[in-house]
Amino acid sequence: MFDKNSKILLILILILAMVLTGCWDYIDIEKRGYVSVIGIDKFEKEPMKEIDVGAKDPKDTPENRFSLTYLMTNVDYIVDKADEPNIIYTAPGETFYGSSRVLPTYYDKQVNFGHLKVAIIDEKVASDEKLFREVLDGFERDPFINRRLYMLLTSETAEKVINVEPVSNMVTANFLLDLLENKTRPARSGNGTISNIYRDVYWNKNTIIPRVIPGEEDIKVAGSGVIKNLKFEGWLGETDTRSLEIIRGEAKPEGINLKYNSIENKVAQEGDTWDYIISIALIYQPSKIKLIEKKKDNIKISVEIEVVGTIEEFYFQPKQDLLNPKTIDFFSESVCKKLTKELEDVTKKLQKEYKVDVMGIDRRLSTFHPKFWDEVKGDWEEIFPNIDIVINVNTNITQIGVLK
Amino acid sequence: MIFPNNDKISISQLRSTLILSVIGVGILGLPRTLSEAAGTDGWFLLIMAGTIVTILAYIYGYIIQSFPGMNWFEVLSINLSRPIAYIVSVYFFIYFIVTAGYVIRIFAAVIKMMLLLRNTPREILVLSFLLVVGYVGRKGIETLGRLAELLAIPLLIFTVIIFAVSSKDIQVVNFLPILQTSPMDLVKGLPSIIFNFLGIELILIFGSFVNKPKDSAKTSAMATLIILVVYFFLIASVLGLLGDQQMRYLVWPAITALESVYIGGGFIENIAVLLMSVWVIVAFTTVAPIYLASGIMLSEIFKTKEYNYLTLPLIPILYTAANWSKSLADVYKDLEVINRYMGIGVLVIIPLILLIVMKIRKTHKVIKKEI
Repeated sequence: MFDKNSKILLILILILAMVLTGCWDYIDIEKRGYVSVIGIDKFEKEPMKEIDVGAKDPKDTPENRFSLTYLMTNVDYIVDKADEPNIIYTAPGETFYGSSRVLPTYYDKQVNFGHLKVAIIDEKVASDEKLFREVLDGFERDPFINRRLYMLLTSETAEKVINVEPVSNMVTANFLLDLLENKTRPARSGNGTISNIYRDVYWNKNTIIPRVIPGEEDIKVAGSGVIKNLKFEGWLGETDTRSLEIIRGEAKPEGINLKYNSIENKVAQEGDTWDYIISIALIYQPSKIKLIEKKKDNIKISVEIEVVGTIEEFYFQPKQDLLNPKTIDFFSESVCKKLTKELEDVTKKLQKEYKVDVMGIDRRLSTFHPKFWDEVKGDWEEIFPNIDIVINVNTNITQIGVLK
Repeated sequence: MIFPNNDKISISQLRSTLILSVIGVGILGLPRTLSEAAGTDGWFLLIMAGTIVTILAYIYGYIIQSFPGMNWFEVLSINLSRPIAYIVSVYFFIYFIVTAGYVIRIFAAVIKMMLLLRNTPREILVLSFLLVVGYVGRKGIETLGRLAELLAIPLLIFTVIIFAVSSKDIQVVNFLPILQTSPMDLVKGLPSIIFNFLGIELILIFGSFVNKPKDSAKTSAMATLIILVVYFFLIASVLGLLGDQQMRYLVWPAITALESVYIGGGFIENIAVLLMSVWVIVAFTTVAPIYLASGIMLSEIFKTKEYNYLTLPLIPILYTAANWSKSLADVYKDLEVINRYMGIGVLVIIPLILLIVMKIRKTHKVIKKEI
């Protein structure tokens, strides 16, 4: 009936057809639960919703250490099929990954961390070195976790942050990501991507992590938590964080307001009287850290910062002439003074209060003065609080807008 | 240049084959090895190792071009007597089989970890890879040469592009301080880096198939230099992205480094995936020449006319070698042992002995007179 060639052809087609059936073990996208935000809290209470199935099952009580909150975006909400934008589960667990293995006992989808965008860690986990190191390792070891994942710290529970539905975007995960990736995000919290955080902690176990603050209907990311020796040390305010970022040379463009007393022709300090306020947008150039004194018991370092400014807002028809170089010089000088004070404040705080070098001075020393660094690196923790740090700010106001 | 089925390859095909067979699975772990050995001076260590290997490669080429038209076994037996030639050939054969096995194993481990689900059986990965390798091996050296020539330049360009994209995230401060490692530490680190150039010795086997053997020395040195440039690009980019401290902890720093690169516009979330897909081809072009070389070795030992049919029975042996070690930790430990005891013999000791014997006995001049 068939000749030899046809038979071979037929068999070939049959074999090929088997290969072409496609992915017989495929998983539909709606069968997967893509965790977008994960909240890591220290376990301190009974689990939130332990589902009681009524069966008299033997209860095993593991020593829970973490309480994990998973936020999955409801895909149905995006296509207008559901009302709830977020799917949130809380699961306790002994380990960070152990908890995610338990989740499928009451969540009907396959949990996947491949699209994790934000991780929120509560202060208590970060304060416990053991727990915090476990979390850091977990994120780094998993090959599927993106290295542009954002890590945030909160002084309240991560669960509370995740349960907020922000007004401007009810999809909490997208809201957080847009907030963090916003190009105009001011330098009031650290960068926050784990690739940056790991770069710091691999180097000297110290870093800063942006702080997230939950409100009623809003989430704010401002300020930062200081990590010292892989352990939470304390908080830095918004201005302090910005100053630190300027010293680190990583600050995004921002600005400051100057209060100006035209009668005495000086910038008003806190409590002084003033009659004008002037708003100046600033672009911070990468800082230069220089070693001036090079003795082990007398180290002097200068931090040099270049700032370029634009006057954004002054006063309608002012007496001052902004095209007069003297006026501009005066304002530039005032910006320098104000910034220098802010930078000195944060330097003092880090040196005297937290005693932690997150400014990157050790790093600069080791890269540019390796021989000197070898002498001091052993006792750097004791040396750092006592070194002399001089801040030099140089401001150039180059633009004044289209008004004189 | 396309040759009919006469077991000949052109000199540029040889060059491409050499480049692709050296650049393989080692490229992912190389930054870690360099960082462990010399910290931020890893690039300097690389250049040192590269220079040494270039000299070695030139020697291989020189040996081959001194005995035109003779295969490796004949070269060995003329210089070192027939019994020793048998021993050395078997040594080479075992070395090739074991290396190919471990390369396949690392390939499977990386693919499984980076691209597939955890429950994918490793054996399936190894077997499917081996079948493709077996196919090329069966087709012989002309096919391999053409394949290498076809793939080499696009692959090199692609690699450069990938790392060029990452250049915007590179921090120059990561390269400093320069030259702080003591010379002793650099010398101690050298052997482990030289082993990243393993594969260049294949010219000893493939040399007899070249249509113009007199260019062998130049070609193999040239190939090493090209490899050195590619490695250098890789190190510069990974070191600039991650910094030396982080590189020491990561098993495959090259992949992790690219994962942190962000391309604006977001048309692709993760460029590491691009690297992985290219790297599959790179791993394949590493195993295929070694596999073919072990087949050729076998045929030279048994003096068969053809080597093609001898390659297929090697697949089960390779499969066993690939599945030998229990875990990834064992793989890297075993590989170190193999490199230390076999790699050094193949790469340095045997070629140097051969060179010395050849110079003393002046065998190459005798051969030329006979021709």
